[in-house]
Parts: sequence; C-alpha cells; structure tokens
Amino acid sequence: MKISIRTLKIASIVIATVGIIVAYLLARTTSAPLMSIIELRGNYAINYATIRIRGVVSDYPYIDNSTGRLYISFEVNDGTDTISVRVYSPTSIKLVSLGLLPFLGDEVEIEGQVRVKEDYVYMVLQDVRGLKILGTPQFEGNVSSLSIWDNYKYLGAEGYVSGLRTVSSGYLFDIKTSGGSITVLVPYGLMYVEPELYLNFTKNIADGKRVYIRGIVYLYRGTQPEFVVKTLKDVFFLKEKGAVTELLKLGDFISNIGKYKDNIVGVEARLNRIFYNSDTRSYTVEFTDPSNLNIKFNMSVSSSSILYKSLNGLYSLTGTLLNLSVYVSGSLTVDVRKISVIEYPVNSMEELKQAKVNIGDIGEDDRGVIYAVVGTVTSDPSIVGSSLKFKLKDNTGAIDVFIPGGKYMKNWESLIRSGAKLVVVGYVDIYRGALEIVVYDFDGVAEDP
Amino acid sequence: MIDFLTVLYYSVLGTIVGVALSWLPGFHIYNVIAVLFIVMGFESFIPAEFIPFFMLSAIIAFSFVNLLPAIFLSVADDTLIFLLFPSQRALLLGKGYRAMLLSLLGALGGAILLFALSPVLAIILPIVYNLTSNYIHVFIAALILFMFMSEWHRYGEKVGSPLSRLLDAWKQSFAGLFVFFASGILGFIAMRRPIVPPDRAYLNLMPLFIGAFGMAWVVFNLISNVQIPKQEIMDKVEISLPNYLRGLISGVFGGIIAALYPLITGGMGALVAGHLVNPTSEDEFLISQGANRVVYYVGAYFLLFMPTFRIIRGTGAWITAGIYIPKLYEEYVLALGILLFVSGISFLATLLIGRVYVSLVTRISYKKLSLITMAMLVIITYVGTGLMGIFYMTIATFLGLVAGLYNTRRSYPLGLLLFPVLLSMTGTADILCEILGI
Repeated sequence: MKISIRTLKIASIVIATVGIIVAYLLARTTSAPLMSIIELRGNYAINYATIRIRGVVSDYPYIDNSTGRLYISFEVNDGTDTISVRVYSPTSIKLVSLGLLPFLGDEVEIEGQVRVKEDYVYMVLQDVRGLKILGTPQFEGNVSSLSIWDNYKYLGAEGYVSGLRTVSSGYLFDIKTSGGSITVLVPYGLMYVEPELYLNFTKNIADGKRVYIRGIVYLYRGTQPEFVVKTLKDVFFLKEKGAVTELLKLGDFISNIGKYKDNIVGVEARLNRIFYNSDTRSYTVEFTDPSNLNIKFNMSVSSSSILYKSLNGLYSLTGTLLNLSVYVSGSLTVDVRKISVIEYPVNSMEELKQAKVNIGDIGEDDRGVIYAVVGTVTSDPSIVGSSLKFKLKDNTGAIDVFIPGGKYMKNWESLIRSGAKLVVVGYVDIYRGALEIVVYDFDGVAEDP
Repeated sequence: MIDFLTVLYYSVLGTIVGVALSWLPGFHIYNVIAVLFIVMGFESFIPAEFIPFFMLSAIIAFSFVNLLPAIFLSVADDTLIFLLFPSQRALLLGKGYRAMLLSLLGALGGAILLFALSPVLAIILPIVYNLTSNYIHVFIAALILFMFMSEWHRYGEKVGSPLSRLLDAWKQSFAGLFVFFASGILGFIAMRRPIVPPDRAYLNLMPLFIGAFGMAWVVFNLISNVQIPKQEIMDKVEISLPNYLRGLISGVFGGIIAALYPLITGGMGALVAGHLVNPTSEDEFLISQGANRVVYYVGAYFLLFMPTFRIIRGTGAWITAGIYIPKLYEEYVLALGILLFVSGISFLATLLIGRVYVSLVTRISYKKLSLITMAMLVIITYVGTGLMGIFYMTIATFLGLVAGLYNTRRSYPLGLLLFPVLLSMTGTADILCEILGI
C-alpha cells in the first residue's frame, strides 16, 4: 500500500487534532484523585502527582514578599496528618487579589501538585481554581477569656491593649478584658492583603488603647489559645469609656476601688518602687499615697514606654508625685494607662547630686527603689545583646549598672567608658544574687559635671 | 564517614544497569529509574545514602551508551533532535561509526570538563541562578520566540500563483505553530488531568515524549524505507583541536544552561549554545551534541551533590530527593570521582557495543529493527501508563509526524511541556482552564 506524502500530511494533522479533542473530552469527565495526607508522607512515588486533599487550615498563612515575589504557605490538616500548601507568584498574587486567601479554621479542598522530599512533603497550589473554601468559621459571639476548647472559633473581645510587641510573625499584644486577658496576633501577612488598613493599624495600635477585636482562636504551641486576626476590618479602635473626672488620692482610690470597676480613673500618687517581670515583659509599680507613705498599692504598667515617655529619667526618683490615669479591670487589677508628673523631688543636677545615695548603702531591701548614684565607670561596658552593662564605683563601694537596649543610646560610646564620671538614676534590682541599678530611661545617665 | 568501597560497589551496579539497558531503543534512563524504584521498589535493596551514587552512575552510563540507538536506530529523545540529521546522513554514507566516535569524544570531553569546572561552577552557579531565577519564564518565552523566528519563514518555490507561493512560503511556519500549540494543549490536558494514577506521576508525560520524539522517528524510518549501507569501522577519527574544542564548548555551555534551568531541555540548551558558538561543521555539531547530552543529564543530577547549590533538576534527582539528599562535602568529592570513573567505563562500553550495533544495522533489515523498536516503545508505554498512555502516545506520534512531514523544527513538540508550564509560571493557566472547562 502506498500513501502519498500529501495525504499523510493531511491525515497526521487531522488525526492529531481529533486525538486532542477526544483527550480533552475525556479530561472533562475526570478529576484529580482525593487522597488523605497520611498517604503522601514518605511516598516518593507520588512526587509530582496532581491530587486533591480536603481538610481544615490549621495554621494562619505565612506570607512573604522579601524576595520581590509573593510567597504564601499555609497548613492543612485532614485528621490523618498535616501538610504545608505553598503558593508561588503569580498564583499567590491572584489568590490575594481575589480575596481567596484561606485562613485558620477554614475547611478547604486543595487540588495541587505533591512534592515529596527526603524528610518532608508539601503541595504546590498551581492555580487559584485548585482552591475551594468549603466552609469558614462563623462568628459565635464575644468573650472575655479563651480556653483550648475554643480552637478555630471565630470570637470577639473588648479590652485595653497591653504588652504590645513585635514578634517574628506579627504584632502580638494582650487585651485586658473585663474577665482577664486575651493574647492577640495580627500577622505581618496582612500587610500584603490589606495594605491601607495595615498602615492604619500600625499607626493606631498602642498600649492602653481600647479596642474591640474579632479573631480566629489558634492554639499556640497546641495549648495556649490566642486570637489571630483574619482581617483588619475586625479591629476596632474604641473611644475611652467615660473617665471619672475627679482626681483621687491613692488612699481614697483604694478604699473605693470597687466603684471604679471597668472604668478609667485619675489617681494622684507618689512613685515608690519599680519591678520588672521578664515573663510578661511588663512592670509592676508600687505607688504610695501623696500624704501618707504607708499607704501602698501595686499597679501594672504594660510597657516601659509608658514610663519613659512620661517621666524625666534623671529626676524621677522615688517620691515623684504623679497624676495617673488607671484602668480598673473586672477582677480589680489596676493598669496604668498614662502618667503625668506633678512634681519631681529634684529639679536640677545640683539637687540630684545632693539626693544621691552612696553605693555602699544600697541593700537588698532597696529592691525597686529609684535612686541616683554618682561614681566612676571601672571598665568599658560589656554588651549583652543590645543592652549595656558596666560597674560603677564610688568611695563606698561598687554596683552593676544595666541599661536595657543601651546600644540605642546616642553617643553611649563616648559617655560610658572606663574612667568616666557619671550620674546614674534607676531602680534597684537583684540579678543572679548581685545588686544592680537598672536604668529604664536613657535620660537616666548623665556625665557628672 | 561514607565507606568508599560501598560507594564504588553501588556505582558499578548503577553503571551495569545503565549500560545494560541504555543500548536498547526506547529505554530512557528516567523511565528505567522510575520503573525500578516506583514500580519495583528497588530502594529496599540499596541503603538510602548510596542511592545517589547508583543513580548518578546509571545516568552517566545512559548519557554515553544511549547515543547508539540514537545514531543507529534514530530513536530520539528530545535532546537528540538536533543530532539526528548529521548522524543520519553519516549512517546513510556508511559513516555511522565515525559519527558515534565523534559524539562519544564530545561526551567524554563533556564529562571531563564537567569534572574540571565543578569547583568553579559551585561558586558561580548560585550567583547566576539567584540573579536570573525570577526571570526564567521570560527566558523560556524568548527561547520559544527564537525557535519560531529562526525559521520564520522559509523560502518557497518561485512558481505558481502568488497565493500558492505565499502558502508555500508559510506552510512550514504554520505547521510549526500548529505542532507547538497543539502539543501545548495536549500537555496541558495531561498535566491538569493526569493519565496515570498518583503513584505513577513521574510517568505522566512519558507517553507524550515517547510518541512525539521516539515513535514519530520510528514511523519515519518505516515509511522512508531506509537502506543502511555497510558501515566503516575505524580505530581513530581525525578532527583538529580547535574544531573539537569549539564543538565541546558549545555542547558544554548548552548542557549547563539546560541542567541549571527548569524546562530548558538539552535540545533547547544546545540550540542556544549552537547559535552562540556557531559550530561550522557536522563534526563539530556531533561533538557538541555528545557533550551537551552528558552535561545536561549528568550535570542536572550532579546539582544534587553540590554543597553550595543543592537544587533538584530532572526526574532522577526528584526520585532521589524523595529518598535521600546528599548532605556532606565528602559525598560531593566522591561523586566527582565517580563521574570520571563511570564516564571512562561507559566510554569503553559504548565503543564495544557500538561494534555490535554496526553489524546489527547492516545485517538485519532496518525495517525489522524499526518494528522491534516500535514494539518496545509500545510495551514500555503500556507497562508504565496503560491503555490511556498508548492513546496519548498515539496523538503525540502524529504531532511528531506533522513536524517531520512539513520539514519544520522537530523540537516543536516540546510545547508539550513548555506551553503548560509557561502558562503556569505567568499565572495565565487558569484562563485556559476557564476556556477549556477543566
């Protein structure tokens, strides 16, 4: 049988075209197989396979744009195991722009390509159409505290921001509610999803702010429930509740504290001692009544910024008279929101030097008391992380001086050096059995004129 | 510390597997590896940390020995599409053995250069890759455009009506466009709706490649009724050093490009390098293709050993990475030694088997050999992917035939891979999905 080349040419095109049409029609009737995640782990034969999984998003999405190409990953758990799902640019950009970014607690079906490596397995979502959000947590109401049973629930809470800090995954803070405290994480990833709202959030968020926040409950390390904010539309900055306008003396405030529950109150008190709690990264400050030093009361100060923004670090010794704006929680704990100074015990360097204490006179009983000491730096400071530590001596003895974040002080290298004569103001603390002065405000170190 | 003798043992074993199977037409080492490990569970016989050495050796052996079916039986994979014309010409002139020697010299030179350049590449490649990896889709798009432009359009016969002359001038270009985009759609469908079960995912595109490149050539051999003349066997081949070096450098450069970047196959790398270095004779061309092939296959796998730049390229590396990824500098140094050792053995083995091939193609009817080859390709495809695979292979065969019959680039069926992945990289795959409704 002889076939002309011309016929063969036409036949090849026709057969190839018909074949592709048949393949296409067959493809329309099939779908990627649904598999459980446990089947994928360690099964390198499945590498590059396009499959479907169905499960719950078990971690908030990680979003990174540091390379200039938006990268998203999130974890899905289907009850048998957990797998990381990765989305690379430009699919990641589409996912965000279409508002399809899955979030903690969402029930999803993912069709993607499996990649199996020696010790881990992940999926690549290659097309936004491969993601189906089957269900998303519905808002269930407001709470004042969380338990592990709230995992993946969509809840809301109102309170005051405290302990605001940035961690590797985003902004982390507590909201002091009427029934306790709830930790809230605002993931950095939201910066790419809601850039304007994120900018607005970063401008407004601060310790002491009254907020109402909705979030999905996530068990940090599997045991510690916290809110993770899904959208910044769920963060509301509220006006302060009506404050009690009169300025109460500390003694009067303590006597009637129950009356001020869940309110902001103005209190006049004297600064007495400062204690730092490294676990909560907050301060407990002891105040005394302005006229009766025996009346003492502890209040929490969630951030050092509340202290150093309000006080002159050099003059604010124990005894400084203050006007405090405090919040009384439902459990009658008191948080200091704002501080303003009514009167410093000293107002000049001369007075400060007169008020100084001898280093040798400082003892363990003085823990928390804010003193001024004057002496000579015995050697160049050692740098511990970003903090500075050095020894100061006078005629009566020597003591360690610790300046948290001291490396950020302007001209610290010229100021704090071996042989320098300094005036140092800070609270007394005990670290590993040794007394030290902790300078909580960079203004608390000055050259001895 | 890794036991050197055990490394040597598994390397020799890998070499034996590679040599034993790569002379057979249609046996691509990646398919062999996939069948050995995925279908037969071979990893339970080899300790995990020695699998990379076994695989490396098998791939080196393949990149040498598989030149034989390519030259003598014209069973091509995509890296060989540029090799076939000069080698076929040589075969028809009774100089197939000479073509084999030149390609082998290129392959050996490629292996030696890969060995010599490895320490330098370990420093340079991470920099180059990090600078360029964000633009891979741009490179690939440019490469596709270049493929079209370089034959756009060919001159036609200056007879007949203006319309027939116009059509004559453009038909090759149109055929090229048809092959590329039809292959692309077929590849897209196969990737979106895999034709194999998930645990055979590595084999998903195998029938398409066997069809478009292997089977299409076998069909050509059958319909062209080739008569192979007696082949001249020689002990030495003459080529000037500058010509040899030009071919070698072209091949190595193309191989490095293909090994480094995903999607760019040996054939495409060779196309770029060929235009950069511009080999001036068929001898140089054969040398460059031999070198390109070794550097592409072995270089891509070798990246798994690179202490400074451990990336996964190629099916062999992906299968290995699922079991064990080399971690020590010592493994890299051992792999370098294995590269030279196995290349030497493979070179000698290819010379030896080459003589058998020469007598085979002259004594047995070429038609029969082509039919045997065709049967093998069908069996491999059926074993790996079943009836659905045969169906896809058939479609791809006709696409490969269109490319050949219209005398357009044989590389256009690479659209099978390039088109869908390019769509995915540029975020436009969902548009086609939307249109196709899959």
